[in-house]
Amino acid sequence: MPESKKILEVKNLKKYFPIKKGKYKEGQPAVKAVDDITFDLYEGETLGLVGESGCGKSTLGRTILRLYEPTGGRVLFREEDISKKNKKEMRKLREDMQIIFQDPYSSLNPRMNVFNILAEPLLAHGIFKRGPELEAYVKDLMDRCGLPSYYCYRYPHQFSGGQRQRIGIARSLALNPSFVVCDEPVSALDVSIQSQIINLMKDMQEEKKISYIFISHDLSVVKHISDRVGVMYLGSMVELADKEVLYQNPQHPYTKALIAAIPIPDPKKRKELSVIQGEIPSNVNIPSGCKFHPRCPFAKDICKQKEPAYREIQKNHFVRCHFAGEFE
Amino acid sequence: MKKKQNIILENGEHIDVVGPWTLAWRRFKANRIAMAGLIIFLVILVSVILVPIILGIDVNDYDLSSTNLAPSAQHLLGTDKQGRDVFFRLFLGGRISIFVGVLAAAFTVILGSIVGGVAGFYGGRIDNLLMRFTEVVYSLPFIPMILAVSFIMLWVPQEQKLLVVALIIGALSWPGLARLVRGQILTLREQEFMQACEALGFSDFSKIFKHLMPNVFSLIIVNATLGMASAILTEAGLSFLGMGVQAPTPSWGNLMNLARESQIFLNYPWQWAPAGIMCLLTVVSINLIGEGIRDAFDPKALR
Repeated sequence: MPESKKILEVKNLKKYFPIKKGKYKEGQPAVKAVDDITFDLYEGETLGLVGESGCGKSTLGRTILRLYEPTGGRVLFREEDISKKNKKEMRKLREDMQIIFQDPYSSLNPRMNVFNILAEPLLAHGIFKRGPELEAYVKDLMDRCGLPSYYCYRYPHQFSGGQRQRIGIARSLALNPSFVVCDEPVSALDVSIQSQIINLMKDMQEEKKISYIFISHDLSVVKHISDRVGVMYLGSMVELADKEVLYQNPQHPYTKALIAAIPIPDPKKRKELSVIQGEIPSNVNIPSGCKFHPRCPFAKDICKQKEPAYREIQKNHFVRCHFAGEFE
Repeated sequence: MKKKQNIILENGEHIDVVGPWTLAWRRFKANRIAMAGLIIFLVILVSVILVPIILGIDVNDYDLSSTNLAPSAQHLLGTDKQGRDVFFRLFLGGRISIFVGVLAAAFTVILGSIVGGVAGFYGGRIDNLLMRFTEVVYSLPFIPMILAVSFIMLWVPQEQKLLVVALIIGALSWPGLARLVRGQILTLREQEFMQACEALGFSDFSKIFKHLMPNVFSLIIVNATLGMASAILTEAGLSFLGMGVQAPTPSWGNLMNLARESQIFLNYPWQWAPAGIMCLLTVVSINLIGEGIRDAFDPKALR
C-alpha cells in the first residue's frame, strides 16, 4: 500500500546505551541497540519487524515512541519531528501513538481495576469527565475487545494471560491512536490465544485505520499479519520488503537462513533444518564491515572490510548486503 | 473509585468482586494470631481513652494523707508516694505512650516515604544525594543521639515535651523505611506498567500517587505498625532514664522509672509492674498485627 500517505518516517535512528554510567558520548564503548535505521510507515499498514532476541527490535519500537531518548537520527510523525517536542507537546502526541506490551503480567498495575485502567488515559487527556458517558465508553471499548463489561470492577490478578492482553490492547486503543507499536504482543500467550488476539488486532485495524509496527520473533505470525516485513540483525535493518517478496525471494543471507529455518508442518517435506552457524556477536564489539560476515556462508573479503550500503535493489525492496541481487 | 462489591448479572449469576484490599482483609481475618493481636490492641486503645475520662481525676490530684496504699476497692492499684491513684496514672500514661508511638510512627512514615519515593522515582543525582544523607542519619548512634538531643531539649515546656520526644524518635527512625521504599520503587519503576504510563502521557504526579504509591502502601503500613511498637519501647526507655516525658505527666516509661527506687521496687510492685505488663502487651499485640498485615499483603502467602 505504498500509495497511501506516510504516517511515520524514521531517519537514521540510533540508540546507544553507554556501558559506563551517564549519558552517551561520541566514541565511548556502548551497546548499539539501534544503529542507523531508516524506514517509512504508511497509513493503515502493518510493518512486521523480526530478528533474533537482542537484535534491538523492542528498543527500536520504544525509541520511535520516545520512551527512550534517541542518540541520533530523527523520527517524523505526520511530518513533525517528535524528538524536538517538549514534555507537554509530547504528552499531547501520545494520544495518537501507543504501544502494546509483550508481558501481560507486568504491564498492568495490580492495584487498579479494569475500569480505572481503561478510564485513566481518557481522564488524563481530558477526553471525558467522570460520569455515565465515560462509563458507557469504557464498557463499549471492553465489548469491542472481547471483554464482558461486567468484568470492569475486577483486578488484573483475576484474569488469564489472554484476557490481560485484551485489557492491554483496550488500554492502548482507548485514546483512538492512529499508530501503535505492538511489542511482541502474542509471544507470551498460548498458540490458541495468539490467533484470537491477532484477529482482534486486525479487526481494530480495519475499524479505525490504525498503522501497526508489529514486533515479533515468530516469522509465521509476522507473515500472517504484516503487509511489509523488516528483518533486523544486531541493531541494523538488513532487509525490508513486501511480505510476499521477502518470503518468496529473500536477498540477504540472514533472511534466507531465517526463512529456511521455519519448521514445515509436513513430515514428508521435512528436511534437515539449516541452522545459522555461530552465535550472535556482542553488540558492543560489532564485527567490522558487514555485521553478519562472521556467520555468513557467502562472506568474501570485501564483507570484512567495507560496510554494505542499505540500498533499494527493486522498488520497495531494501537490502544491506554487497551481493544482494547476485545470488541465484 | 466505585464501591460495587457484588454485581448481579441479568441471568441471576452472582459475581464477587474482590479488590486487593478486600483480599488482604480476608486473609488477615483468617489469621487467628493477628486477629488476637488486633483485639488486644483495640481493648487497650479503648480503655486507655475511656478509663481516665470515667475516673474523672486530674493529673495533679494528689493526697499526701494516703501515700503508698496497697490495692483496694477505692484504688484498684493502690497509690504512689504522693498519694496519686496508680490505676488512673496507668491508663493516662498508656494514652501518652501510645500517642507518642503513633506520632513518631507517622513522622517516620511521612519522612521515610517521601525521601525514599523521590530518590527512587527520580534516580540519578537526586537519588545519590538523598541516599547519602539517609546513610548519614542511619549511621548516627541511636541511643546516645536520642539522649543528647532530649537533654538539649530539656528547656521545652512540660506540655510540649511529648511532642519533642515523638519528633526525635521519628527523625532518627525514618532512614530504614526510606531505603525500603526506594528499593521497592526502583523495582516497580522498571515494570512495564510504568512504561505504559509514560506511553499514555500521564503526569509525574499521577505516576507517583496513582501507580507507584499504592504498590508500596502495604510495605509502608507494615512498617508503620512495627515502627509504632518500637517507638513505644523507645519512649519507655527514654522516660525510664528520665529523658522522656516528664512528671507529673505519666507515661509507661516513667511509671516503670519508679522501680529504680529499691524501696518501691521491693515493697510496692503495683506501682510499676502493671505499666511494664501493659507496655509488653501493647508492643506484642502491635507486632502481631504488623506481621499479620505483612502476610495478608504477600501475594505468595498460601492462605
